[in-house]
Amino acid sequence: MRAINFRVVLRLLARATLRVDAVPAAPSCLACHARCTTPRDRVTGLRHARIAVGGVALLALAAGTAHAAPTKASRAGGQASLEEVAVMLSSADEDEVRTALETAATLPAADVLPMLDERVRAGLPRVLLDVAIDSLMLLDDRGSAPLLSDLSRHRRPEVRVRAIEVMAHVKAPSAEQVLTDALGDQAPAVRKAAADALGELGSHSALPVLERALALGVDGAARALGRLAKPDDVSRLLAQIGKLPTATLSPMLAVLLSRRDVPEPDKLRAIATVSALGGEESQTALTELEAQLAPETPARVKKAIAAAVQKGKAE
Amino acid sequence: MRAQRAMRTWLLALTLGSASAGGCAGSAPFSASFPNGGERVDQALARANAAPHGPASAVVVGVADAPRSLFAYDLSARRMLFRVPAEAHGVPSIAGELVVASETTKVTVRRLRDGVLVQEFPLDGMHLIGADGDGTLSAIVLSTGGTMNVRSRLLLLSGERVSADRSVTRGLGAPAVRGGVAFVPHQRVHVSLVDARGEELARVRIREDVASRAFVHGGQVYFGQRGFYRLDGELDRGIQGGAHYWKLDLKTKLPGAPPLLADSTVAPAPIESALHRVALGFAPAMAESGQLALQDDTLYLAFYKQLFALSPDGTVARWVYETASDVVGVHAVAGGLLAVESSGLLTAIDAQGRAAFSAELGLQPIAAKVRAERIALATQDAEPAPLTTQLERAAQNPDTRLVPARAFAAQLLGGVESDDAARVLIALCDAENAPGRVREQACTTLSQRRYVSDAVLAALRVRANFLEGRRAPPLTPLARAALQAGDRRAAPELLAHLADPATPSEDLPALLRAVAGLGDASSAESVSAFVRLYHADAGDEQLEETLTVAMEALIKLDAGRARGVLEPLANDQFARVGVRTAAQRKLDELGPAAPEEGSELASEAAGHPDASPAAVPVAVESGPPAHLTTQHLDDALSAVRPKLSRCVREAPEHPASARLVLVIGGEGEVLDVRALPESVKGCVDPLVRSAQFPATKYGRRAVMSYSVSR
Repeated sequence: MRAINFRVVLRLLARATLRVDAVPAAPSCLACHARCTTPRDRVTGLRHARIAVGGVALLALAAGTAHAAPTKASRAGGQASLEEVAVMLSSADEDEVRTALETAATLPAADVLPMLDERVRAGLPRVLLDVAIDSLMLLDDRGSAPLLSDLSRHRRPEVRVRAIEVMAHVKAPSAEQVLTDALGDQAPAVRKAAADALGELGSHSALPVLERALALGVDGAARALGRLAKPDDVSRLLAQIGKLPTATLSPMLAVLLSRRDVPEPDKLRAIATVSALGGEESQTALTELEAQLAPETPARVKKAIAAAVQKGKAE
Repeated sequence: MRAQRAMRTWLLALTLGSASAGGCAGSAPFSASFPNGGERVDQALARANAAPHGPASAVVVGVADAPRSLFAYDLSARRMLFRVPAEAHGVPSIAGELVVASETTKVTVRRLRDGVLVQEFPLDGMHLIGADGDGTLSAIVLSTGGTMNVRSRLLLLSGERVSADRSVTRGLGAPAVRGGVAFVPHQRVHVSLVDARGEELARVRIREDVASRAFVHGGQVYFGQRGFYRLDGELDRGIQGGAHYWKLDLKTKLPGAPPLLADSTVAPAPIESALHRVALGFAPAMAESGQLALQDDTLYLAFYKQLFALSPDGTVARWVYETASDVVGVHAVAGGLLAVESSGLLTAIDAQGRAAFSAELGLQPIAAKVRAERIALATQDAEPAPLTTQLERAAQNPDTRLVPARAFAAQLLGGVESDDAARVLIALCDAENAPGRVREQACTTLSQRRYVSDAVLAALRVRANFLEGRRAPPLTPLARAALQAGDRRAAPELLAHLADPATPSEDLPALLRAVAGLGDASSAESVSAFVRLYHADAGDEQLEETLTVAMEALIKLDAGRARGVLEPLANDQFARVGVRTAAQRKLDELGPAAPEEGSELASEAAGHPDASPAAVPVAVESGPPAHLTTQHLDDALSAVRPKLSRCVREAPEHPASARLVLVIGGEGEVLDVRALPESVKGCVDPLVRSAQFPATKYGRRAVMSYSVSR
């Protein structure tokens, strides 16, 4: 029986899995960035991709074990891929490095993270750096925090955005400080990513800085505040209605109105305050809020907002 | 027959006349053959100096608007002497007790004390070049100016009566009068000494400057253009021989570039011209060394509403004074300056830049001329504002016409040692709303400061933050300032900005150069991290250039580390060609790596053949190590390193170095060897496998990279 080169099998399978554009069930963000519009989508896509890669890798292992001659590498069992990945990471061939980066996502994080860390710090071209960050997301390991923290200060904003998304995803202990710092970034996209990430991270202590970001019109800050505010904070946040543009506050209100833990009187007061502002901006905000209400929103809140919209139309 | 005799007589007279004009004193002035220098000069000077010299009355004359008029003001008595309607179109001159002005198509001569018109002459296509007087004799020069078909006219008045009127076909400059002798520059190289009858008494010639204007100060006659000579017995010797001469030798360009003395061949600017609001003020004085110098060692510059007292070379500010309205006339006096403003305010400013006194003229002058050698400047008790504050105010004046002077004020801050000056320069350099020229000058000046500065350090500590409304500070000038001052305290701050994405790309080279120049070796690690991270990410030439600068910095900071960083870069196919080439060039500049101690080459070089590779111990501590380190790798491979280097040298691509990736098992066995370029693999593989690597405590595999240079 012909010996199977485990490395080649794994590389081919991994590539085949990760680069298929039309995989409706598992929309890998490694291959379909255009379709993944939100960080949540990307994370979901990457999780699917990870499952797919992991499965294929297991299949490959099984195939290798069943049909391959007993080589030094196969004797090492699953760790053989680590060696291959290490070697391929040093390659001058872009495809080999890409494969190694992608394959690394299927290996134990503790083993591959030092290699990925070293490889990223040794300098990667733009495309491969994107792949490396994807792999860090797939690895989903807090050990990647130091590297991600450094990448959150990369000179290219798009790298910073992606590092921030992954940082929030892995929920590293240092993430809150990194994300809070990133709220002050000069690039709007980075600030938005940081605000979204703080919301996802559930960092309640970031509320004051998010409020400052909201006042300065940082995109994403309102939504994050809506997610992070505790019932005690709601009154203070609602006091911003009328002080800041309603359009700025609208994402925050939409989240607050949908949350079960926010007292209903606060929700009704928010609707009444926006309604009392009057004008086209208020009407637009109420209409949008009505459209965004979650199905589980209490009936009285739904009714109040519908009434406010009607009142606005009548005026 | 009678007609022939008459003709002969006339010709004889003409011939004699010509001979007389050619070489004798008392001939028609300005003839080409008149001798220069000689005893005549001494005699004429003695005659001029014999007359007593007392300071003339201190007056201001000028042209005022609404309605257009000539005026004269007595500075001592603080009263208006006269104001008469006149369509004056040039700055009037004070000639002893007369005021000479050009009005419409004529030159008018009025009495200083009451403005009564005593003489007038047609301009006849000429300009009033200048006039002067000593109370008894007055000289007025008109000229077409230019250098071709020049016509000039010299009018000499004894009292109010014309005593001589000479028209010549050569250029005459502005005259001075002392002791009944008129000193008239002509042909740009001569000054003729002329008596009241218009007879040329003597003539001097200069070679180093231009004789354009003459003037009297303190009883001495001076003349020149780019500088000024004192007309005395030493003049014949020339500057090298000891003639008294002072030249305006500016080390910096002054705003508006006003002349020291106006060129008499150029038509005077119209009276409304802004040129009359940009002027230099000075007075000659003899220094203790016997050299001609400036009074109070100060050159004054008036630029619209700003007055600068400067060192003679223009580089150091003594003070800056700002006026409420445009300055239309300045005049240096002992211990200070007199300034006439367009609002009609006349102010005397003392040597510290304080207003010693002021007076209201009661009219709005367009242009004014002041005659005063000494003015009593009242002592001021108030401390003047610090020079830094004066310059800061000047640099921040919102008047858009003042931009050149504002930039100049920023430049002058460079010569002020105080940290406040650095602070002001940083603020100006960073001021978004300041005119570009002012900002640029402030940044340039800041870059050139050589003083260690806490202000620079504090500015470098500022980080851009959107939420806190902070932009990155002006990093390039700050980095250069820190470098110029050799302030190593700045290195960590510079490195922090190197790692800050808010740092503009164009500032990175300056940061790196400063880090390299400060020479703090501990900076090498950060620079190395920067080079490694971005070398393959360079999407444009700007970052490529930055990386080249970073490589240079790395070599300066730590050549050993630089080699380890640059070797992989030089062969990294992912890097832009420019980056690879730069890395290779830097490696070439570094030269070949020194053989490591204990290596075969080193042993041979040291003449110790016994020190064989086998004798080199592998570093294994008591008990196996927890994991392999670079040191283990170095130790294990040191025995074969010369051979590995040979593999690289003999590789077909002739690489500068090769990168090996080794997979080493827990027992120290070599599991895999990869090489870049791949062509060396066949050569290096057996060598690496022959090396003895230590076993590790937990039997874990290690993947390590290793660079081999030629």
